[in-house]
Amino acid sequence: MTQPSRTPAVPQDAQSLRGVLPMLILCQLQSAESYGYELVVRLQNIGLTDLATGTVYPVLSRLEQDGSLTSRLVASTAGPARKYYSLSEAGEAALDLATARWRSLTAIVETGLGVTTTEDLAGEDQK
Amino acid sequence: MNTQTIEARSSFGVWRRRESYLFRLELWLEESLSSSERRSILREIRDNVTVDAAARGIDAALDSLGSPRTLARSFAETGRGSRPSWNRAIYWFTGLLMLWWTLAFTYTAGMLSALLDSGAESAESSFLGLPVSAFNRESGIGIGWEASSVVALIPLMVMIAAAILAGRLWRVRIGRR
Repeated sequence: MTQPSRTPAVPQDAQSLRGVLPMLILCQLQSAESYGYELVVRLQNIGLTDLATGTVYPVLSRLEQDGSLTSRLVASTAGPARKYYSLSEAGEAALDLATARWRSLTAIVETGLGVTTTEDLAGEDQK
Repeated sequence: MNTQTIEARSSFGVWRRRESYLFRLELWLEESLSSSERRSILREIRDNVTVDAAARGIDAALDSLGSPRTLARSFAETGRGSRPSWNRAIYWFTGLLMLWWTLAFTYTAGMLSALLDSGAESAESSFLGLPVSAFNRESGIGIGWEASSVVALIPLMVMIAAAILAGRLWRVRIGRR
């Protein structure tokens, strides 16, 4: 389980993470179906090293109830049947919308961060 | 202690901690989710915890889930709202009943002890309205209470009345939302 080198070593903000977690879950499940714990490990592998399982499982439940995810029970030799989640058509649309919103927001934030530096503000004052 | 014994104890410890967590989780889930929803969630969490515990230990697996109450609240956001906690009511009901009878038994045993000290043959008294007796005869010693008395059913009646009242209040409260 290694964190990608491009990920900055800054503690993750729980509130921000909660906002983007459904989108990331939908995205991960778009590429391959998963069961709960496996999905947590996949998310940790993309850099969310502090991600708690207790944060992910309720989101899975909510997304399934919303119709964004479908699930199926797969027989397991080690115990009871395991619940695998995959993206539904509604989930595909929800992911597209969430991705578009995220890109729009990050563009605004990037712009905002770019124009509100101290130097820029000082320059505006001198004019 | 051989390796198999240690493994067996370890497995039991993991099972006990996992099931204890799930038991508490179910109590909290009961307030907001239906029975079938709870069963589905608990089955899934049990499987995930088992895999997680095998990978990094039961302590880390349970820590990562957070407290049962917090986790249940997160699941409750998908539920149907507040529901009566019947299971919890049954546990409280049973606990209170056991407490009642334990106190009654202790009180009567105290009477018997006093009889043995004083040498008297029998004594009668009442514990919170329940007629109780103790005897110390040549044929033997013993304690008892009047099971045929309606008074003996008072704790049961009080607890049932409390449960019904609480249920009615809950319905009124929910109905006003």
